[in-house]
Amino acid sequence: MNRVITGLLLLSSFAVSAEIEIGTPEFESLNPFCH
Amino acid sequence: MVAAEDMGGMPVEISALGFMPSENSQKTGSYYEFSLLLGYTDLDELTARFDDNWSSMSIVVFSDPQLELTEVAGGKWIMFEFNEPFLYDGSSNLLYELSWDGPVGPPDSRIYTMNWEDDKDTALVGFSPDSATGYLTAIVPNLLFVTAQVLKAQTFAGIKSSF
Repeated sequence: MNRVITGLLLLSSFAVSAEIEIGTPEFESLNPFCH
Repeated sequence: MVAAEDMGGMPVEISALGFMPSENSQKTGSYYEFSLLLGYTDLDELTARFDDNWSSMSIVVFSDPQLELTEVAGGKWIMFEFNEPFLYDGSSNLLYELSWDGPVGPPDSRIYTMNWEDDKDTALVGFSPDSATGYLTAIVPNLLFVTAQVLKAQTFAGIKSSF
């Protein structure tokens, strides 16, 4: 018996989007945009 | 400056950066020769000389000869979409620089952002785009990075044989 199973060639790419927030809003700046 | 540990520890493409205006901010603002640069720093705390803080070439990710901000509102991020994504290496401290030339003086240009206080001086502020030095502060803006992690999954052909 000769059994040959050939796997699939899978090539894919995908992007995982994320947001990274830095800091927590503590107080208003003293000077216009941004300090 | 944003410490590497705050960036999530993996390489990502950054496509936009946002700032959070305060509730008391004006709703519009205009700035000449506005630019946003990104790069890296080896430092954990900045020095007072702008040029000494970069450990890599800075890249202009956004620029506008005359930036007009409108419909600014507290709680709604002011987003700057990059011309090209910035590939963050996942391990370095990220350094960003904003610069602009007036008019900041007119009342309708007074946009204020929300800030927080870091435990060391991670911000440097100068009062002119030509400033070589500035004053150091631990007061830094709230930021929002829009990122994408590009993943590639590959399964190569396989063979199983029995005789």
